[in-house]
Amino acid sequence: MFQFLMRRSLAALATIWVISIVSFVIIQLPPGDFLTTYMANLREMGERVPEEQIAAMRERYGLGEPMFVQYYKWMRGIIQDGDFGRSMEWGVPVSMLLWDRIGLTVMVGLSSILFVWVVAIPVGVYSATHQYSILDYLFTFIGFLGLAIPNFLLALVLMWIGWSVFGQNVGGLYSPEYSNAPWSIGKFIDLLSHLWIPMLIVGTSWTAGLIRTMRANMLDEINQPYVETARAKGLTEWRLVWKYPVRVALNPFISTVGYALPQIVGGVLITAVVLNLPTIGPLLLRALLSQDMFMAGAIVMILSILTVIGTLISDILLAVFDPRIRLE
Amino acid sequence: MSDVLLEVNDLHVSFFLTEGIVRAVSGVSFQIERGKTLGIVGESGCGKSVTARAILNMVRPPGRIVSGEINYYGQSDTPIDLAKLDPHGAEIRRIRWGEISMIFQEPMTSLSPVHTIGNQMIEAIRLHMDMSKQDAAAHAVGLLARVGLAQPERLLTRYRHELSGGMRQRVMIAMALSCNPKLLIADEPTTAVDVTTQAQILNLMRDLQQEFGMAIIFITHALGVIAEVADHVVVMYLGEEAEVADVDTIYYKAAHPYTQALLRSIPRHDIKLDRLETIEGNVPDPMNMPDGCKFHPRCRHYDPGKCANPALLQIGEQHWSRCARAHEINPQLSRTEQPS
Amino acid sequence: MANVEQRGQKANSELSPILDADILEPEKEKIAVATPRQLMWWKFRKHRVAVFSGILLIIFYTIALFADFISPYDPNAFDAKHKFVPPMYVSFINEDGNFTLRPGVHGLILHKNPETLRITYEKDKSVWYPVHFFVRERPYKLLGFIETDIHLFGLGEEAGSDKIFVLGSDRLGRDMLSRIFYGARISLSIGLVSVFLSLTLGIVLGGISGYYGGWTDNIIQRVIEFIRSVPGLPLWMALSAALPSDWSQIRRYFGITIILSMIGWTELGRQVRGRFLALRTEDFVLSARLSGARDLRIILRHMVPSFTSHIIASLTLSVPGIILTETGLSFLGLGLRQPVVSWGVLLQEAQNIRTVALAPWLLLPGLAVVLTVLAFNFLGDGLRDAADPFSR
Ligand SMILES: Nc1ncnc2c1ncn2[C@@H]1O[C@H](COP(=O)(O)OP(=O)(O)OP(=O)(O)O)[C@@H](O)[C@H]1O
Ligand SMILES: [Mg+2]
Repeated sequence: MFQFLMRRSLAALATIWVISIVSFVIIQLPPGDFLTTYMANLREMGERVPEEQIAAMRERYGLGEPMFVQYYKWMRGIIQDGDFGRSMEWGVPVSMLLWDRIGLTVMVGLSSILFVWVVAIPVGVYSATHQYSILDYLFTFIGFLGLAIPNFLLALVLMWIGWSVFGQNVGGLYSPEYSNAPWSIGKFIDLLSHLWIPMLIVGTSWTAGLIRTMRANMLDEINQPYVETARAKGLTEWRLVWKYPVRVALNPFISTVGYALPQIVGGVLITAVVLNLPTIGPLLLRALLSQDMFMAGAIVMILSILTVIGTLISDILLAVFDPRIRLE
Repeated sequence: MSDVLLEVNDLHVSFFLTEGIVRAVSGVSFQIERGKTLGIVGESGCGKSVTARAILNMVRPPGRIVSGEINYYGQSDTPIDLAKLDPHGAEIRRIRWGEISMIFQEPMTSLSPVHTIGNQMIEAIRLHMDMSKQDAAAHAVGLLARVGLAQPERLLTRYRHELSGGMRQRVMIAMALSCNPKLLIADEPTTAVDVTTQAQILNLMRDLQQEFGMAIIFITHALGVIAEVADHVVVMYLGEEAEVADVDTIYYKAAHPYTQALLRSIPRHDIKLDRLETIEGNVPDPMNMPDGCKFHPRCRHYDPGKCANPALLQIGEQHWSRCARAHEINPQLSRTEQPS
Repeated sequence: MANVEQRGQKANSELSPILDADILEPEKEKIAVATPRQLMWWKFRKHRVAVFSGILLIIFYTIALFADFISPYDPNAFDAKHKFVPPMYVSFINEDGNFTLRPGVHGLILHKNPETLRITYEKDKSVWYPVHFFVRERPYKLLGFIETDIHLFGLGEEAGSDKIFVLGSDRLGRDMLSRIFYGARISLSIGLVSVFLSLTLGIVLGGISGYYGGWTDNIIQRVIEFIRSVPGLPLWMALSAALPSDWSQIRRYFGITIILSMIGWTELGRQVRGRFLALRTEDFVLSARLSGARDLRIILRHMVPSFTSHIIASLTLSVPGIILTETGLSFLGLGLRQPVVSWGVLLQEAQNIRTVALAPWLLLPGLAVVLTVLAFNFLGDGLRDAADPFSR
């Protein structure tokens, strides 16, 4: 178990390291260095920056020096001070803009995953235990539909329905009166009442696939001899299904959720853009469109790291749940 | 109380598939007495496991018990027809494991991979017997020790994959006996283990039968094993009985070409053959059964004139054969035994 | 059942049972010579939804191929007088209220709300334009080389500046139907081209990985694992955004295609590798090796053909992901750009919720996306089942 944890954590660290390189490459992709662009922007707005400050920044980010030195300085900044560089567009350190949005991003992502689990497991179990029933066909069809509808389209349609039927804007995560208010119980409840829409949107496309996974896993298990044994013991159908095949089918399911995580993050991102949620998504889009590369690189990096951590957690969960891995 | 514990009458079980209907069991009848052992033999696919499942009313869709009776004389002389019970009902669930327990064909996977042995045993015990968790655990430990497993307490916390095939089979036997059943159905309990273990398990089952007094239905495809354990034998072929008799009659006075072929195919040490004897031809496609006598495509005694639609003929006091030419192929049968 | 009868008698004679069956059952003989592909086709045909999806896709691709012939208008032609025209009813009742065999549409009367400046259209019951078929206007090159000016349908000259908008028009008065047809070209082709690139990548890398094993395999596996464990979308977004903005449309198209193809190859690579690992030890590969065939030749001649059916199925299943990503990227403004018309680009027009509320038909390209993706998924599912009944 301990070995397993060590191995997985090391792998995750290695992945994070590669992610940092990829993110750095993204920052370097556009021609010219960011400081020149930054200065140009400031000058356009009629501001003057003292020479010493420019020199200090040059030194700090290693501009003009070889790539690996720049990479090293960038990484050192992140690890030591949480300094991800400067946003050219906003003219402030990237980290300042990111922190509160990350919390909400994680929140939307987690609630979507929760939704996926809560829906996919029972529906998958039902579909498998009632294979080829009308509801099974219906769920399968809805599943395929969910896979086929792009997140943003679903978001658009929901917004359109909300707008034209209920006459209200379903976007955002807070009602106007709470958007700038400090945290309170009321604000939290308000957040929850807005959260279900992105949760539903991101959820549907993923529940679809995961229902199918769960159903297939269940079908693999449901005719296994150990289930027959349980039935022969005289357990009720309900109890034996939930105790035995579901429990076994959950293991590959948990690892599938790990694999789905990267895509769920993508879904959250694009949905957030349409619904205009105060999460990382719209910020990334804006940064990319205006070539604000420190910002973009930082966001790509943070999203990726969060995903890797999420996958690691789901791996650990799997190990906790499955005695076969636990004892390895 | 009569001696009969379970009586199967004209049982029909079919699977309704999109490709057609598979009549896995078509008209099987037999009885088993208290404390005795009934062997069911037959080639792969002849419907042995389906019959066993039908007894516990556990045939699952697309399969269904089409007709027939399964009379169980558990408590009194008024039988319960298991075939008529609701397969999800409380009555059958009480009988399952509590009165009739079963060891399945696949010992390797008959235990859950993610639950401990203890969990699974205690669950069964507490379901049918009024016991606290501690008592149930103690009971389980006793049983595990009885079936010859070392360190039974520690075994309770073990998982399936930590056990060898022989150990798993012993655990299954212990579990099957945990609620003092009146009937134990053992579906090929020894196919997946090596010969030594096989002999040990057979001996164990015989001892346990003496001790617990339950009846056993012993399913196998090897006639050789039957000789060691069974009192009566049902030979099945394609969902029907080919021959029914007590074990000596089967061995010495077999009156069905299929039984005779099975007997010939037991490897013997005293006669050296160039090659092992096999039964000619293959088991026909279950969707597409031969007309008339089902065995005729493979039968060396087939005569279209005589073998039209053989019924199960009584040819001896406790001896039935589904062969129209039973007397011709077995000269040992005296003419006088033939019912008038 | 004469067959059975004969068989029984034969069994009595000395013929072996195998020979016996071969001689007596002509249908069995046919099955015995059916190629795996034939078997696959027979199984596939039973899958009705998959067959239907296949037909639908053939129709879609035909539309894309002949978009210039069947589109009534130039997809980029502005028309200030016909902004946000709702989809029109095509009816068989003419202006006198009589039934005709020729379909047609009524003219429009434009109303402008003086306060909100909102434009609404009303059906002009007195004007009715019959639809003309094979009208001559706007010359183009059919399939890229046949010069012609015949279009499938239009209102002809008598309609003057009035137009037929079967699926409505957008904010610049462009015909949605024509735009969706032209968009199909890009959206559908980008799926195929990317999948082809993924396939090449997947087969080459997966093949190398599975065939050689060892450290090569290790490195490629780690790369695949890495790509699968990080969220793709932000990466693809960043890469697309980094494409120089002065690139020509065609270069941009290929740039995006290459970026998209990086999505699909990992799954294909994994599968190819798995197959290779399984096949490596099989007799026919071994015998080819023993007889001195070169590695590449073994891979191409002996190993690849033995799993084409699986590959076809997985390919089909990876097209939807690519189409969805293209649509998403273009929708965000990071993928293809105007004046290139793809379904994603079209959906950009629907980004503003007020516009959608005003002209919901702008969401129609989304319906095209959904239908295409559904069809690919069903088709792929059917193919997979046919290719291998035991795998999911
Ligand atoms: N779930 C099922 N669906 C369809 N057909 C089935 C099913 N279960 C069993 N059958 C059919 O019923 C027949 C009898 O099967 P059964 O499992 O009883 O054979 P068996 O005698 O136990 O063979 P073996 O020695 O291999 O265990 C077979 O022809 C099989 O095809
Ligand atoms: Mg069996």
